Amino acid sequence: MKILGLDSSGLVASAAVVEEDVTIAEYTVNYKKTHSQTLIPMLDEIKRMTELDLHTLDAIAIASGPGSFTGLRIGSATAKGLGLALDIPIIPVPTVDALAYNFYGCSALVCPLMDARRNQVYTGLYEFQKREGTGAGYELCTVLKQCAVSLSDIIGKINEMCCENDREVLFLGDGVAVYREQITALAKVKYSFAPSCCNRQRASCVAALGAELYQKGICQTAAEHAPEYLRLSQAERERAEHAAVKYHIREMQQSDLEEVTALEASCFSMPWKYRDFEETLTNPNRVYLVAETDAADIKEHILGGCMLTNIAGEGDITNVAVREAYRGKKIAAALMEALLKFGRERYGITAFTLEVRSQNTPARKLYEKLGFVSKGVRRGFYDKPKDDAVILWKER
Amino acid sequence: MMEMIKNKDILILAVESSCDETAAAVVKNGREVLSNVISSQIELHTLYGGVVPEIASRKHIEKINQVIEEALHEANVTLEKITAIAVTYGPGLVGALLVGVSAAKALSFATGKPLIGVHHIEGHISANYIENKALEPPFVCLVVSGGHTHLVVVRDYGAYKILGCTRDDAAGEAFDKVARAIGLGYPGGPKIDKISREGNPDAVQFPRAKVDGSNYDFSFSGLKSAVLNYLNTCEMKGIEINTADVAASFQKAVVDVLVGHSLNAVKEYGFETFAIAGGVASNSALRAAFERECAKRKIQFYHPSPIFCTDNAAMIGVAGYYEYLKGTRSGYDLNAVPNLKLGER
Repeated sequence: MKILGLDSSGLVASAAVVEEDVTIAEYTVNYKKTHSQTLIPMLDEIKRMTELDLHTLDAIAIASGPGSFTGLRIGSATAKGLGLALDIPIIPVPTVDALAYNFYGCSALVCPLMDARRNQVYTGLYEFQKREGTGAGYELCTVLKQCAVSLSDIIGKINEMCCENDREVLFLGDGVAVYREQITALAKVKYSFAPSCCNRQRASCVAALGAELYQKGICQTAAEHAPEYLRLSQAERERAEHAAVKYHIREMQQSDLEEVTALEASCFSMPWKYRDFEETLTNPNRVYLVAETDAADIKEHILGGCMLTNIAGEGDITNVAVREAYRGKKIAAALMEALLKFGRERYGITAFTLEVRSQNTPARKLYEKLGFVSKGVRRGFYDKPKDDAVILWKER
Repeated sequence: MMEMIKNKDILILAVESSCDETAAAVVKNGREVLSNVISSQIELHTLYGGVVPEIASRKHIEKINQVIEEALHEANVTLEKITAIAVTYGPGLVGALLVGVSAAKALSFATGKPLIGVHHIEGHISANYIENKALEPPFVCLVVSGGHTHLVVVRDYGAYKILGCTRDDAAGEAFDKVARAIGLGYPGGPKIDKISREGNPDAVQFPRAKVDGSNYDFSFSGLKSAVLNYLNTCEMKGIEINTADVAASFQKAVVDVLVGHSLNAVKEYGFETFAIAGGVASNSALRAAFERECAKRKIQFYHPSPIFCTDNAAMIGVAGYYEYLKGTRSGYDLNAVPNLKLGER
């Protein structure tokens, strides 16, 4: 089986022709010229040098993503055009998997890192497991599927996984150059960085892994093929966020308890526990309001929440929380307004009070806007970190 | 479509993906369209109030093969029968262009057929050759679309002199922005055209902008601002806005400038022929004005059908055919050029 391998997912442009266990040709360029200008001239050179009859190709293996959106599309469109003209299928090879395949047979945990911008890396975790029988070779096994995460997330994962078994980790990819210092600072396990001969995308790896995938029945028509971006476009992302910000406010119910507990834990250093919120449900003098998104496709429905306790006609407000991703969208203000209204109508409260960390400027501004005024300070009231509590009152 | 294909026939397979339409076509001997397949993304972009480049590029890659295969199928030809492959390589959205360019280069490489990079505006101008077999250069052509406003002398096939272009917004862009401001939404051109039929074009006097130092350049951002100012003033004074009147008055201001500049050029260069092209060339008020004014002056007026005004690949096939005859060939290093100038390669 003769496979054309292509990878234009990152800065590297690479093309290779692989037949069974022979790499007939490989052309890899890691230079600034755009892939649009290099990829087909490279193929043309391979064709000329190896007297390649394109019609002898059986399939095209392509690094199908993640990667630079434009880079992926140049490779994909090229593969699709070739597939259409030569009437051969396309084998989509996950980019990060193909990077890991550089280290076939390696005993360390392999961690490719591709710079994904926006403070993230495209990464995954892989190991090679020996197949049964001599000469049967190794199987590339996915420990963590390719994904887009922050560097600290992936290093945290590695620290967790490798600290006990003392396993070594091998880093490769263009993300290493960007994050080398941070890796050194964060990694609590043994690790190495791959050398230049095998630390970037290579089309021969794409083709060789592609051949394995093809045996497993993974292939598609040229028409079907499209890159796997792992990320939405910016416009789609912003639209989804915007949709999530359409919400309504209601009283907490039993089915919200887990999400509310998680929200609380994500916002406070000394959070209330599940049990505390559960008790709220049966306490006639206490209410917890939640802001719930109207978007059906958002997994976590609860965007924010806040608590009111009626203490002899005075309203004590606590636990005002909004999920980090949704702050600055006036959700806390809406929750507070609803809570004040609720307090007046349900309990006949005319005086509300709350305490706020003196350092929490956004919250203090919001409460001021709502008509709260400072009536005193409790020195060193808060722990983790140590801070004063400003006591606010709204009497009306 | 069952056409007899003779061996000496020149068949161009054309690909276009410069904005939000994925298109492919087969054109025979430069003037006969055997197929013209367009996959429009307009509904998708309507969600965002305009074309989103990344989304457009993603859609192009999903559709490109189907569109090309359908174009070959409809034309009842195989890839082997194709003489050359033409593709839009600029101007346009770079990510969108790259899909068509990369696919076309791969087709050319795999089949050994010559590759011809085509200028998008040259395509629009050439759309006029499809239905007007008598039309030949020289003539003056006005290209008006969402991204372009060019007044061009077509001296010969593939030989152009740009007389003027817009200094700011393209005419179609102004339509989109004004449509948004008066609450009609996207795409603005067809919506303003439609509602204007019920409005009074003389209700509001909007300015007809002149550009200093040039008889043929255009400027539409001032007009757009004038419309926005008018809307603001009405709102402040509590005057109810008649959307149809505003649309019709705005449209007339655009049409007046386009027609005025164009006919001055025809007169100055002494031609008897004038053509329009591009998406805005479908605008009914613009067509009516040109028909009336050209008839008065005994100027032959040409315009493509709406299907050839919008972005399509048939027009790229026509332009590609004349480039093919001239001997134009592109290399495998052909790149997308988002700001490609007409007449440059």
